[in-house]
Amino acid sequence: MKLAIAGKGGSGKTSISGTMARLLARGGQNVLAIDGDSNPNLALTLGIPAERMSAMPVLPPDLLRRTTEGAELTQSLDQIKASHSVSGPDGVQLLVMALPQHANTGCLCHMHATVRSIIDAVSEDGNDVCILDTEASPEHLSRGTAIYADAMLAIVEPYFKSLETGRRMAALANDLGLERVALVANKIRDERELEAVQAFAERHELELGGTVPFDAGFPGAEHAGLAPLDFAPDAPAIKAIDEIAHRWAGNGNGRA
Amino acid sequence: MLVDMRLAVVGKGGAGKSVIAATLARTLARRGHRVLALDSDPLPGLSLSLGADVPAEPPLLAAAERGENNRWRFIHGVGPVRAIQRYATDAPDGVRLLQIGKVTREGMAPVMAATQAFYMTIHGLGRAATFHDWVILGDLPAGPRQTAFDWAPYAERYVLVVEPTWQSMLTARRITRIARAARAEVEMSLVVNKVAGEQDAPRVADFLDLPVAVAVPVDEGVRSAERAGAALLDHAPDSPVVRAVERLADHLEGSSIH
Repeated sequence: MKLAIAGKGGSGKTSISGTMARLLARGGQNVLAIDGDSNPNLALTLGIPAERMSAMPVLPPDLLRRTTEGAELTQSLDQIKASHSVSGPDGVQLLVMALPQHANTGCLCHMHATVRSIIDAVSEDGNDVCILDTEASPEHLSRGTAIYADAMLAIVEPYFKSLETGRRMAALANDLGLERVALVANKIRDERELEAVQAFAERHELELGGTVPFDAGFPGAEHAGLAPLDFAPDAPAIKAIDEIAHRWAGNGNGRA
Repeated sequence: MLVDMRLAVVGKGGAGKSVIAATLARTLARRGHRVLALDSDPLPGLSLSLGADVPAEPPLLAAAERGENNRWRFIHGVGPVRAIQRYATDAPDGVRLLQIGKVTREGMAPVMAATQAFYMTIHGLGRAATFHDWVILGDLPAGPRQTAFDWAPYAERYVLVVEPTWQSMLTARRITRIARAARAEVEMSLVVNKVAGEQDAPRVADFLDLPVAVAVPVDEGVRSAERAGAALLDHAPDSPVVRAVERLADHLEGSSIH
């Protein structure tokens, strides 16, 4: 299963991506996490300490070659993982797309294309999972980065800007031809907030793919610079994410 | 009063950029400044936080066309100054708002003319005499990308909006490095947002090696305004964040050249 996670900045994309990746890996699946955000923070929510982040490998530009038939990877997926990934807790492997260090570093389109081909190369075996954490912009959709994902979850908070951003991203993903696109309601404090998201989803004919309650453990983890799963393993939000992860990307057995 | 305030509000997604940028724009306008707000985010945000009605289609669509070699150019008779005069729209308290094209169901393609016109406008704006005594205040999208690609060439000062979390602090450090690599003399004003404890603001200041311009407390009013899709100044005018933005305005007025 190849799952893209999208949403407005601050909606909880990266926390949910990192937590899902770990929980699926704990359940015995092979998990490749791809940080497709040019402001890469997925390592933190996977539980890789901030100190290690400055030495994090970033995908080099020469992994993709243009041919007359289009673009192709210059290395196999296994080679790419062996030379450019970082291993995180629970055996999750992480690839980081880019980290702009200077002004005018050049367009990131090539790196988006590289990630697109890497997602395409992930096998469709039920035991293999790819989680793509995306930029807080529609870049990954307008550039087609997520085109080979099987599904996209747009993480939304129960207020207008966040819902509207999720809706626009969902529309773009539908147009890109993704088979399944859904909203996931995050940071839900009460029944009224859930109803607001449900009503919005219904009005725009969008599937609600899951609900994650507000959980003080998550901001706590961000303050501490730890993965939510390590900071508050028994938090209700973790349980909700576990359920969503297995429903959307589980292999049908081996629940964590 | 002559001021020299050319600002870009930057930070991680969800840090509170748009709410602070919008509240600051209106606060400065109420103090008598002429304010041009530049919204370069292809996703909706600043106009809602300003409480502005915006047209369904970005007015800037009319400002650009494809010329020879298929390259974008302004239509005849329009340059950066006239683009602002003609295509900026009114926001509350007299703020003028210029918006980039917003992503639609068809992606960015249908609004490309507006995006290109916006980019040409901000790059041509420079020291345009017409706006020399205006406050120019840009609200940038999440993360360091627009800073890296020179989307705030007008900015003499970055207003860094940072939460006391690792993701937010790391993002701010990336933005600061990229901005300074491009222009060493650019000024930074650090706004620590959603402060809950006494150690929050000093921790961010230490990490970024910048003094705190303003610490903004966690505020229920913002959450309530966001849920209502309303401008903070209209929804909760007495909220602590509004008062903190008043202090930010003091700081900026004190730091600019009079």
